[in-house]
Parts: sequence; structure tokens; C-alpha cells
Amino acid sequence: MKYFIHDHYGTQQTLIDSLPSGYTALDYEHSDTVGIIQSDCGIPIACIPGVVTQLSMQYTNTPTVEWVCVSISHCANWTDVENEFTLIETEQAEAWARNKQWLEDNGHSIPE
Amino acid sequence: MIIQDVFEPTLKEAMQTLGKGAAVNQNTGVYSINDVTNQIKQGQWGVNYPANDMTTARTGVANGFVKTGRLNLNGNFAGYYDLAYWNGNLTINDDNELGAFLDNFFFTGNTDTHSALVYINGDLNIHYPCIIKPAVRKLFTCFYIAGAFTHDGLISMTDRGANHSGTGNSHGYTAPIAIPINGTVTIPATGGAGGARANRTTSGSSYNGGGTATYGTGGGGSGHNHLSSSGNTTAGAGGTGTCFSGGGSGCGTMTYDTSNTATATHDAQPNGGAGGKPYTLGAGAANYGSSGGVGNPGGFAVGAEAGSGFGNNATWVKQPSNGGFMEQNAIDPWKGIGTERGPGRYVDAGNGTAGVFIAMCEGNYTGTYGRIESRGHNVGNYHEIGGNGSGGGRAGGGGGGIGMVFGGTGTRTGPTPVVDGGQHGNNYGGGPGGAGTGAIYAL
Repeated sequence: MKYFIHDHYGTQQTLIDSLPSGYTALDYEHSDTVGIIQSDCGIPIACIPGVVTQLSMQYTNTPTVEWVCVSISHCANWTDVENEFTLIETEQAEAWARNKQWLEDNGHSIPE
Repeated sequence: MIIQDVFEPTLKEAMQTLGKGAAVNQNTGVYSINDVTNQIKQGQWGVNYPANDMTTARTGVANGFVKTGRLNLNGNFAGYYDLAYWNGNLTINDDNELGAFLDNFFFTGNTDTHSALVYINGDLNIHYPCIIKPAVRKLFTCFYIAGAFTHDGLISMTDRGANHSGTGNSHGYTAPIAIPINGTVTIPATGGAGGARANRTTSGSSYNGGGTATYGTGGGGSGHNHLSSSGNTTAGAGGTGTCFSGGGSGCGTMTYDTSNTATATHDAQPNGGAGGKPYTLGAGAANYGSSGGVGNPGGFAVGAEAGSGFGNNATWVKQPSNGGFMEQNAIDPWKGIGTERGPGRYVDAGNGTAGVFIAMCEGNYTGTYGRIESRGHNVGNYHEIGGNGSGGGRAGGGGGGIGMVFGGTGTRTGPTPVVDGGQHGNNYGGGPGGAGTGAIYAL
């Protein structure tokens, strides 16, 4: 499940009209929205428009799946949105790779 | 400059009192002969509106500030104000009015202790790409437009939230209060909660995002806590948002097998104060360095390894927050291209919290290309200074601010304010800042 948090004024109507399956669109100003995200995902809303989704973030050898609120204000379509998710996951994986290299170079064990 | 203290139930009524009063004879009341003599000498007796309003300011005769004083809303002190006044319609579309020139139109240099009030006695048209942003931090900025408001430019309070804590680089303390806007909407004194300190005793990563509040600013995120092997470590907490500022963020920590203990200095300071300071030598920054949080000012950074370039790059020496010592991003002048998520904020670094902007117009609110924003600071995405080299676990993002537009007619189709919190990021980034309030309402 992914939540598309949009504003109240139709600014993201194109994205709403083409909402992919697996997404739920929520109006940020609806009184239930903050509670839904907090109870289902356990995180606050950080950005509007944004997508609250689970990403695979590699902080150690074993990636962690966690809820993240991703800003999509620059995304024109859902392909851009999916690319944004990939970019975040990729860059964290790269950061882990650098960390892992440093650990190896300094004779430390690699956390699982 | 006329000094006038204002006591009104709401900000809307205060703006009407100040603005409408600015266009009528100021001399009603009971005066001593000395008062009359002094005002005649100053050219302020018998005038229909002050001679130094912005109509004359635009010709270079004077600035636009006509009143200052205390602002009291619903019985609570809301700080001092500076009022700029424009009599008639105002269209801002001159190439020479981009950026700083408008600062002089609308904003004084009074920092942290004053709000910026602007009364337009007519229509306001801001054309693309004109920018309105105060040069210094303000309690809040409020435009009252007696006519229609057409907005195609940029109005920003990003990084202009007040440090009203009375500590550090604050210019004075102002207690947060509930700010009643129009009898329906009230900005709460306390915004979203800051992300709590993130503690770890096992290998892995933790952080906590800032919260949100109805009609309020967002809270700042905690720092990222990454523990590689073993120990007991804690990243600093984010700050709670207030009516005058989004919350700052806490410092990050990244260690291999050493422990550290968080104190208040590692948390964002309250009321728009300093960002959480990083761990310094040894336990906190031994292997990876440590990043300070966003705030006023942003917390500095501590690098674990000696770097290169301008400045003192010795190991574990305190560094300006996230590269802020550089006027230009000399490490990567092409930041923003390719996989880098830019543009970076090297010059401003972690300095600044999101502020509060309110516009009220009696006519239509329209515009196609315009933008109103008050966003929390990002600090988590810098590859070249992050990871294991110097930055360590990143700080959290700043809380989002407030952008509210109140329209007097049913036509309220202008741009929606953008009030994101600072993002979590992807390089051991800290907790995101909570979103603020960006909305359009009936006046």
C-alpha cells in the first residue's frame, strides 16, 4: 500500500486521475488523513504533495524496509515518482557501500 | 515614523485598523500644544496619510515604513511590528525590482522581534519572476490587500523563521502565543512536536520525524543514529514548531563501537533557536564525524578525517555547518547534476528555520505561475561530505512553516503555498521535518 498525499486545491489532479493500483489518494486537509498515516505507517507527514511508501533502505548489509514520506513536488507523472523512489534507495545503498568499504579498510567487522 | 500600539482580537482586524487608519488623518484626539507644535515641525500634522508611504518610496524619496509599535492579539503580546503602506494599486513587474530592492520596500532590518506587516490599499499584482522575501528573520510576514491579489511571483519565508528564544543569536525573546487570524483560523502557539531522540544499543539505524499540527508549523526531525557494531548511542531531538518558526533539528551520530550520551546541547533549541550541536571528539565523532542540526544558527559539523581545501581541515576540528564556510560549493561546483540531488545549500548550510507568511485579500486570489513557500531545511543528501568520511549520521530536517492565503471572494484559485518539512534524505539522513500548514481559506 502507498498513500498519495495531495493538496486540497486540485493542483495534483493529473496524478490523481492516473492513480496507479496500490495507491490511496488522501487530501491533506481532510481531518482523517494525518491519523490514517500515523496509524497505518507510524510516521508523520513531511511533504505535500508526497507519497508515503515503504522503501528498502540499506544502512547495513541487510536492507531495512521502512516507511518514508517522499516529496514528489517535481514529478510530472507516476514514472517520475517511481524513479524518485529508486533514486533514494540507490543513493542510500551507495552510502552503505562507502561505509562498508571504510569498515573493511579499517579491519572492522561488517554489521549484518 | 508613527508609533501606534495595536490591540485587536484578530490579525485581520489589526491589519484593517493599521491600514485603513494609515490613509486618514492621524491627528484625531486630544493633544497638548507641545504635541501639536512638534507634529507640525515634523510635517505630520493635518496630513491625510503619511508623507513617507510607499507611493513616494518608489520614487526614491523615502522608505515605505509608516508605523511601528506593539501588536497585541486577543490579549496576548504578539511582538513588535513594522508596517509598510502602499496607497493604490501596486504592480510589481520591473526587472529592477527583483530580490533585494523589494526587501527595502517591504521589510525593515528588525530581526526576530518584529513582524513585517504590509498594507496595500488597492490591488496587488506580483509578476513572474519577482521575489519577495525578507532579508532577515521575522516573527511573521502578513500582507493585507484591500483589493485583488494576483500572484505570479515568489513569496518566501523559507529560512526566515524567527529565533524568538532570546538565546544565542536571537535578537530578543517573544513568547509563543496562539495567533487568531480571522476568527476562524488560529495558528497555535505550539506546532508539531520535534522528533524524539533516537537511541540505539544494537547495530543498525534509527531516526524520528517531526510532527504536524492543525494550522501550525512542523516539528524538526531527530538526527540519524547509526551504530555499526555495538555501544549505546543517541541522536539529538528535533525542536517543536512554534507560531513564529518551524522546529530545528537534532544532531546525527554514527559510530562503530563507541558510546555517547545526548544532552540538551545535541537537541534543537526551542523557539526557533540553534540546531543541535554535534558530538565532538572521541566517542561521538571518533570514526565518522558528526553533523549538527538545522536552526538559527545551524549546528556546526565535526569531521572525523582530515579534509582538503580552504579552512582548518584537521581531524575532529569543528567545521561550519555542512560546508557553510564556503561562498561557493568548491567541493562539487556542479552539484545538482546526475545522481546528486541538488542544488545544494552550501552557502546557507544548516542555517535557518521555516517562517510564517499570511496574505489576506478582500478581492479575488488568482495567479498561474506564482509560488508561496516556507520549507524546512534539508541536510541529509550530501554525498561528498557524508557517509564515513566526515559528516557521519546526518542531522534531521527542519519543520515546515506556514503559508496561508485568505481570499475575500469565492475566487481563490491562486497558487497553493508549499510548506514541506526538510526531507529524510538518503545518506544516513535524519528524520524528516513535519509539514507545516499551506492552505487557502475564506477571509
